[in-house]
Amino acid sequence: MRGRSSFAYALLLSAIAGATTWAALLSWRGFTVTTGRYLAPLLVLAVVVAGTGAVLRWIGSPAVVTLAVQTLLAVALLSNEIGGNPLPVGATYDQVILALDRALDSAQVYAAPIPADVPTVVPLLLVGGAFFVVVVDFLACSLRRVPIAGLALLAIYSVPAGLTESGPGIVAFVLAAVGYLAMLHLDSREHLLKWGRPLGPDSSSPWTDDNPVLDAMRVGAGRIGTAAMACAIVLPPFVPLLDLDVFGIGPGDGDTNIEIRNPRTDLRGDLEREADVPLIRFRTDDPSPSYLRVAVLNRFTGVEWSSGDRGVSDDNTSTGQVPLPQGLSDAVPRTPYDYDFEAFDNFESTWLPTPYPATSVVADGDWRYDEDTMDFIAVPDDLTTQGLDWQASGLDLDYGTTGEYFRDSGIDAVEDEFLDVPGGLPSIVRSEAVNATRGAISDYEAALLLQDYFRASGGFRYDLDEAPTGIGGEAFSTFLDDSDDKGRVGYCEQFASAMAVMARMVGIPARVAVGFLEPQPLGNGEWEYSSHDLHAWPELYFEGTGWVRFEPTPSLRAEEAPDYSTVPVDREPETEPTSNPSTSTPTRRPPDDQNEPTRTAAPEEDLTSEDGSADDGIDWTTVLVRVGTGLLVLLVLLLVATTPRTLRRRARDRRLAGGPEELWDELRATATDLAVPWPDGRTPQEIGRVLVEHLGERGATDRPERPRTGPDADPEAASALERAVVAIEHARYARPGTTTPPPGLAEDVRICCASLEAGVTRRIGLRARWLPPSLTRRGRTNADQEDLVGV
Amino acid sequence: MTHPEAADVATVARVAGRIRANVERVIEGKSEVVSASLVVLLAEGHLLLEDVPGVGKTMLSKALARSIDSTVRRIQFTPDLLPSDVTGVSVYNQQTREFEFRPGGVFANIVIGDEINRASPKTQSALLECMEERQVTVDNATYFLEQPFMVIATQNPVEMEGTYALPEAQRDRFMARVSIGYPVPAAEIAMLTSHTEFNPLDDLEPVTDGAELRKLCGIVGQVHVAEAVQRYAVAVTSATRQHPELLLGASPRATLHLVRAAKAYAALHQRDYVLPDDVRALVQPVLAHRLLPSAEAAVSGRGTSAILEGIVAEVPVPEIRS
Repeated sequence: MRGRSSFAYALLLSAIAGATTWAALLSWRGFTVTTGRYLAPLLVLAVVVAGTGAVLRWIGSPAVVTLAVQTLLAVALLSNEIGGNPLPVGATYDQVILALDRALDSAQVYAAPIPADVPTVVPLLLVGGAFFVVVVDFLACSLRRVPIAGLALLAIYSVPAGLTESGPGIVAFVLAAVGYLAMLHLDSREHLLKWGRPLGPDSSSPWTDDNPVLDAMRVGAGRIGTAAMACAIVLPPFVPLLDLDVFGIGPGDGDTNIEIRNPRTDLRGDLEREADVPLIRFRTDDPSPSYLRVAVLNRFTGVEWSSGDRGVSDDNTSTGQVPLPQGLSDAVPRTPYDYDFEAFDNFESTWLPTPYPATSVVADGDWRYDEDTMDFIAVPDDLTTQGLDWQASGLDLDYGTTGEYFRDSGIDAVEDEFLDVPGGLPSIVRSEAVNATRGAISDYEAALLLQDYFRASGGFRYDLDEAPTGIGGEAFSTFLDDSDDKGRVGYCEQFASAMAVMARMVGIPARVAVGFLEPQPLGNGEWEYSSHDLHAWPELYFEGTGWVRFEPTPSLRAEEAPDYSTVPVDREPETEPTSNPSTSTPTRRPPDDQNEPTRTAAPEEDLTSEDGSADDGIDWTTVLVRVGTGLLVLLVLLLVATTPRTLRRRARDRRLAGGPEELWDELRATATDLAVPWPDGRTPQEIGRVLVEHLGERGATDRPERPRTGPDADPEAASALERAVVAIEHARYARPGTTTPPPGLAEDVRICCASLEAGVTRRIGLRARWLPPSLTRRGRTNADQEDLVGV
Repeated sequence: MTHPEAADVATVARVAGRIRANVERVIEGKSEVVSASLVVLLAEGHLLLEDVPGVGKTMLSKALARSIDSTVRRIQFTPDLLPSDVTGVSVYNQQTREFEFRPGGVFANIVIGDEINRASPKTQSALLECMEERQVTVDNATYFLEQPFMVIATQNPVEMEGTYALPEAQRDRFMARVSIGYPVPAAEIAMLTSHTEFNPLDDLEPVTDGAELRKLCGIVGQVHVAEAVQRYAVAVTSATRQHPELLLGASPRATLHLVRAAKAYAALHQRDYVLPDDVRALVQPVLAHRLLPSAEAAVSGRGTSAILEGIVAEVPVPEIRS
């Protein structure tokens, strides 16, 4: 009867734990619009984990084994769900990793809820959810630490609380809270019942109502639970909220205002807007102002461009002179102009629009510039350009039309990030890049050919309506695909992104700039940028000129490309050039050589990849580095985990080799480790009398939950302890010089320690082995005791 | 200075075992009391047996005295006992025409002072000098008492009628006070058998003599007391002096007695070194009778034994590593 009821109990607790976790995971609905795709598999997973756990616990398997089995099952289910095969090896593994990678990218790039038309974040939610299902089950059911399991549930609940607009939702909270209270209730009831038969008329059935212990328990749990839930519902408005931004998920869509906070190449909405909203008005002595830069995007994830990691120093303020951009030669002719900007109230940007290159910027508020990109970011959270006035001076650089200032691309002069190409891009990108730049004898010429490819030779069209959505993955290959009906149509983002990526592929540092294309003259030296002027373009780096703007967007949108970028290129024949003009050195490496190990640019196609349509996503160097790092981390973890044990063992060996005092210390350390009381300030005999009550039977094959202890449990250990006590007494109190420790004392102490260890529960024994408290806690010294005597 | 060999302390234990066996033929089931008496005997102290009448105080002292082949004298203290009865008196010898000293009851190896608290304080104090200095001064002449010299005094609890409380100074001179207590029923039945047919004291033969006892005392004196043990003894006695519930704490002589008794205790257990546990075991018999509880403690019913128990539980044993 006992076994049956305990199985029912195990099943009930497991089921409630699984259901509670799943209910808490409902709070993640705000992350994606396809909620069923993660909730349904997780429900299955929760059922499997709960069922396995209940059965395994019922047959008495150790908690670790239960956890391992549950984890394996969860991994198999996840692998089946994400990769289509329960065994996460080979292609399935690659697929799972790729899916997770994409999900992470999506999570970093898009605001929640993440739309259905971008790579889904569901794999991420699945893995996270499975983790929590297993963890909660392990804590609440295997370890019987229900209160701690509450922390895991809280963690589930707190993720959306910081990240989604809607928050976790009251339904998920109430369901999870009810489940959690039920778990607490069951757990405490089990604890109470363990004390013995509950008093009451029908003590045999714990389910009946007329049982005073259960009634008391129910009332107590009810009160605590009600109070806790009431607090949880009432208190939050009064608690200051932390601004969580774990995944860097951006804010939601704007309304009538134009917001640029986390600049992304997501201008489409603004460009498609019917009304052309004026955003910035300015006055300048420049007779033909054009581009105005807002922000620079450095990092391409394969899906989106983002501003990357920025570090701005305290000195880089917008209070006057700013340094000239990197790589710009003094020989380039320049004309300075001044600008006086004024933003309208509907232009909210945390990035300050400035001409490029600027020589001085004066704006109110804490705006800082990044020396690498020379764009200005607002440091305080609430600082935007809304209604802001600011002054800037800029240079109009005349690079000429002969390319005389353009030297090599200088890949070593800039951060590696500007050359990073993520894995997993469609292979057409690389082949098109190679084709478009074939015959170029310098980086400059390659850049010219690339721009020409987009503006003219490639047959691209600018069409905002027909352009595919997005710039990564499928959209990228469609955009470049000549044979596709919808191919070679796009808008500025896609042109800028494609040119930047392809420039990187042929070894030219590139990035995407976001800003305004062309202002409308208002007369009297005043100009105005409006929402339809928003634009994106690539910037490429060359020694001698620094970062230079290119304009791949066809003339329907951007009428003119910069003069220096429209130089006609005489394509060289396929053979190697024999001689070259001095301005363009023949050192340009063909893109096939780009697979040097320090670069993450992908090598040529990987035949093992699934169907060859994706760009070789696997960079073996990266894989090796990652595996190596993983192993290293594992090694470090292993070291950290085993260090206390090793230290303890060394200390034990050292003490066991020492005299009676050292041996006595070892006994004390063992007692400390095993949480066996060691009375301080007592005589060895008294300590021995305490210890002997904790001696357990050594070598007991089936160790019970609470081992029998006492002198009778292990008489040999008891007499060994007696000998140890006599030895320490002799060492301490006998006439000096007459003490010779008896042989075999170390063995006696070893027997005592083993017997003490056999007398504690398995959990304490494990803790003593892996986290021995004696390493940090030292026995009381004598210094304070001598004061009592006053000597 | 010679250190006692293991064989020496074994001798002490062996002889003491013989005495114990002898005494226990008379006093059944009181081995702790017998042990305490042996400790005091070997530590050259004096023993105070305090209990209600009829529990065997005198029997114990007599049995102890008889087990040693030495001079034994018994002084029955009564209210009209004079100091000279204890110490002795100078009598004029008409034949020699000189004063001649007639030794009193104290001139013996073992002096049994029966019902000592029935004598007047003046007579009680006559014992003082003898007990501490082991000499008697009468008419400017000093007479030394022969070793071993031990006073075994019995007394009734002070609440009994016709008793005078021993002054603190005299109580302090007794190394230990022991209460015999009523026997357990089994022992009492055995006593009925053995004590009604004949007097068991008559059969008691000495198992040692004064010379051997002197040797044993010498061995006990050489038992080693480590610094940690000395500190512990001092810590315990100082704690009694600072205890709020005690009006009078233990004297330095008490500390001395404590350590000396501990030496004997160790030798009885065949050890040539003293353990803190030895000191602990003797704290009650050696210290309890010297302490005066404060009025508050007396009113609240906490006796000196209970207070001492608290002190022993609190004072830590110094741990001086070897």
